[in-house]
Amino acid sequence: MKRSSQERRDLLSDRLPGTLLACAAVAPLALIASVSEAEDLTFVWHAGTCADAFVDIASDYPDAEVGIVPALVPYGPEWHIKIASEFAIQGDAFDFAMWDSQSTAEFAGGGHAYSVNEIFESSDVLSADLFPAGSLARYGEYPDGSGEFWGLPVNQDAYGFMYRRDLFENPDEQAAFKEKYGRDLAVPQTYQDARDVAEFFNRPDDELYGWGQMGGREYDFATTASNSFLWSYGGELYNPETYEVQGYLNSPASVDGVQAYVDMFQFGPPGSQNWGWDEVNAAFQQGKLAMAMQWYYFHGSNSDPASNPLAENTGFANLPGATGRDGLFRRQFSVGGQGMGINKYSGKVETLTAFMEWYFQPEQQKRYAAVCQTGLKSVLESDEWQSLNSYNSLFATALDYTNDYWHLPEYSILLDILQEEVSNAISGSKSVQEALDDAAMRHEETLERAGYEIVRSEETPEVPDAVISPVGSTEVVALPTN
Amino acid sequence: MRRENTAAFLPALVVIGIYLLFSLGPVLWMVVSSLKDRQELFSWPPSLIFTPDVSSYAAVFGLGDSSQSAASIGLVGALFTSIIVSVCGTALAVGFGVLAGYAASRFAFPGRNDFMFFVLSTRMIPPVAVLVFYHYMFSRLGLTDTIPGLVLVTTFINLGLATWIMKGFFDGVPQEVENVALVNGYTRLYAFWHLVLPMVRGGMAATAGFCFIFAWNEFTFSSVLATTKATTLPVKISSAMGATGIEWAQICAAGVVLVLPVVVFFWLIRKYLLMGMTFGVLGGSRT
Repeated sequence: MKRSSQERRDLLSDRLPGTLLACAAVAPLALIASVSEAEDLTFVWHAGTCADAFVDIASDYPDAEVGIVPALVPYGPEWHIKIASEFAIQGDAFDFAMWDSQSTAEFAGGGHAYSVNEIFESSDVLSADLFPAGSLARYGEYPDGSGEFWGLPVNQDAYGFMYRRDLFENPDEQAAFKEKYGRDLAVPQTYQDARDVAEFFNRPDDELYGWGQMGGREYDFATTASNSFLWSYGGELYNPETYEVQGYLNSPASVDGVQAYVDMFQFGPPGSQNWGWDEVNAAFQQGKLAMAMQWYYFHGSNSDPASNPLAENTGFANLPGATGRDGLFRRQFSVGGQGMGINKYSGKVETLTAFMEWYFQPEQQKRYAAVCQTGLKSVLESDEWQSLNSYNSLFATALDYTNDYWHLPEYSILLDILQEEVSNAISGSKSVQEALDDAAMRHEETLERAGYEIVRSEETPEVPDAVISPVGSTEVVALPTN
Repeated sequence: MRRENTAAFLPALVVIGIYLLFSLGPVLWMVVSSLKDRQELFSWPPSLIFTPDVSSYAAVFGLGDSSQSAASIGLVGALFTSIIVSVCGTALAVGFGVLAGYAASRFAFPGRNDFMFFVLSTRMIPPVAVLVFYHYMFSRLGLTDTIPGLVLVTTFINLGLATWIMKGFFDGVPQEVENVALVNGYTRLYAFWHLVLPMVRGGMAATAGFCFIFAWNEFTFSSVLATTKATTLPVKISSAMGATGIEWAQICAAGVVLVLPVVVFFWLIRKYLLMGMTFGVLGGSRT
């Protein structure tokens, strides 16, 4: 039944005061909410120990008006997608983000990152001198060598090595190894040595395997490991001067390296071809691995008896190098870690700069360095930090041997292609040569589509490292172990 | 007679048992894993007899030692966000789907078949293909990282499915039901609300069930459109990573928490689900 006009007016007059009262009650809340949102600094990072440490330290930021809000995502493609999608719409859902060093080119090259050089100019506290030059270059410089920085080294990392000290120091094992291989059992300094040691300790019937490494298709798992082999054998991913990939990625030296990597899976547990870093950790902590490639990031948990029952018998070292087909020794492995980049669309640069001036003080960085790897030079070079545990001093050395993926905006596409082809080689569906041939061809197609001009050389080197930032030496340079 | 019935039913029991093992096995594995510590979790062969460890559940709710972990803070908030987004999104999708399905079933408007194909095609698009456009649109409308925004997304995702399913159920209701009401002077709205709708309750329950599952498990849009304030539980669970790596026990515990509301929901609508599944079995269906 329809209401009369009078009934409708009565209804409105009855309910109007209550409605207005409710709006008046809610309005201040909305205002408070909007005011508090303006003082929050939101950051994106993958979840983990280092994010926990960052949040813990940030909770002590003296300015009570500013809250540091974490937006944590899983490690992997979701992390990159989160940042990239926000940049794609020029959004301000986060104010700063920790992204992989390889993503700096994509984000800075796309014009989404705020220039750190401007921060250095405007700040009385922050300057390039606070950080090791190599770290600043690695985690924030684009283009390479330009002196233009787009991120600060907030969390350094490198691909490292861990081994079962009890096995290596066992007199019976040492004697047996010497008898079989004619040399002393020691932490390998070359991948050629590593293969022999892995073969020696490979005892599937005893649930012990000689070598653990990543091989997963996801994100950068396989290529983090395969690149470490590739570079050590003198290979290169491409020529940064000419943008040639064919003849470099699929050079004889590169094939040697990736072949050595694929061959090592025979000394790993069944299914290790699909491993990420978590599986490597799990297998090592269960006592299944004599040696393993693993990020320094996890050395903390692997040296903690609460996480690793074999912590007391876990030793650390830097990854081996290799003697290439040209007879030169090289040692290079994947850099990890993240730089802290600022969202250009944030609008809170001033507030963020103030926070960064506080956060990158030695006091805060020492707290961070107790858990993860800081980028502050004064802390990195201190005896106090280097003697904090058994692997920090090794890490300080590791930074000199790191190499990285392409610092190009097309990094994510190139990565996915290489991941796919290396996975094909691991599975045996392609030979290593075929996989790298296809990867090189597809990479060049990608670069050409992106507008790069590939300048063909008359001939390409058998060992690309010989012509691109050569690092070879005539003798094996041994690094200390712990 | 009873012995014959039992003998006849035995093969069915075996098949059902195998199916239950197949479908419930992973869930039981998840429950068992949520009660193990990390070492126990990775042991081989896996142990079914062990000392339960509930610390992962404490971490899920940010209690005790885990309360300071950035990965465990806010799981309770994420749970409530998921409940609100899923319930509201399902209600809206089913509500609009019922109306759209009824219209498509009863009114031969021009382009009806094309319209229905368009509706169905929205289910063919992988979410990631439209993700950036949604992100852009929602950002400009101020809907990113908001619960209303996620409710809208959930509604859009499920509206096509709800419309398609409900049209099928309405096709199974004889037109004569409404004709009797119309002939007797009642409005179509009256006939729809009082006569037709009660007949498709089961269908609505089934539709709501499907929509709720999709809404509850939705990850792609939630991970990008929400940042801190409107994070849903699937997104929160995926970032459970601590000092030792991926916190599998925590993920399993959170998975148990994630599954429970769906189990409760389906328990509540089980009667209507059965009605919906058998609706139209004895009658004919119309296009």
